[in-house]
Amino acid sequence: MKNMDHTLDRLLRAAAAAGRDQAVEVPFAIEARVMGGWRVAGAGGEPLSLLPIFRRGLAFACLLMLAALILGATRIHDLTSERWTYSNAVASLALTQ
Amino acid sequence: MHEERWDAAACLARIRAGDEAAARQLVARLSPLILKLVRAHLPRRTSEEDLVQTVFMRIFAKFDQYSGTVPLEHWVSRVTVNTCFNQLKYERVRPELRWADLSLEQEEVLRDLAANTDPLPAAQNYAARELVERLLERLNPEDRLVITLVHLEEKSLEEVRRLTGWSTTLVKVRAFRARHKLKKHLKFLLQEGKP
Repeated sequence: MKNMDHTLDRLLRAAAAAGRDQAVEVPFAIEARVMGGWRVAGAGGEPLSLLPIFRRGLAFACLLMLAALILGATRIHDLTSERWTYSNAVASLALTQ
Repeated sequence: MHEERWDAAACLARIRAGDEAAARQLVARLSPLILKLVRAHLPRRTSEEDLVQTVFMRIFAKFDQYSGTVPLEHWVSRVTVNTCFNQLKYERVRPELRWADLSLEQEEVLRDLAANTDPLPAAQNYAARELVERLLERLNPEDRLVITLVHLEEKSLEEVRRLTGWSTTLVKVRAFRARHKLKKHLKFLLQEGKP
């Protein structure tokens, strides 16, 4: 197995050397495509750029819903307490008369 | 090429404002780095150009996530490696590599490996690289990534940790296991090629 380790090391070293020799020249087509993609994204054609707006919109809608729920609950509470006071007043009036 | 005090933050701000010249400057500066990484981790069935474009689109879309605390190139390397890694996940692990699948040059490399213990001659480096890439196709994406980073790109553990986001222990464990699997595949090939 140790022998296999050495064999694998020799193979990997040779493969790594081939990678080091490679010169990286960027083809013009790649730059042109990337710039084309950037222009489309800038014009709002990129779905990824819409995602943050959608997220903010969703968060805002949730906040609005929460505020509406709180407001509704407060109103209901006020109404029930008003009714309670009114019925008490009627009963009290009936007793006193 | 653009070594005269390139201000990444200023360039990103100009791109956010829609400055095409700044975007072009960024693309020109980062393309060699991205292309090199993409070539090192390129999934077989994906076009190099497609993957470079995907990486750039992610970079443009995620500018806000770049904190500026590390050099831009580090952040870009991580985005690139993650994009390649995600792409690799779509590729199915291929079955056993057989002697009959190899080119003549790759067979020659195997014969040399079996015949002696000397380093392979430089003329065989490219064939060795191709052979390793074919062997890597038999590994899962995590194993493939760690072997490429540690053995082919000769990155340190710290660099691999930074690029992948894995812990140092996880990098060590994955590298050990991946190497073991690679060794098994190589052994199978060498035994198959024995006369």
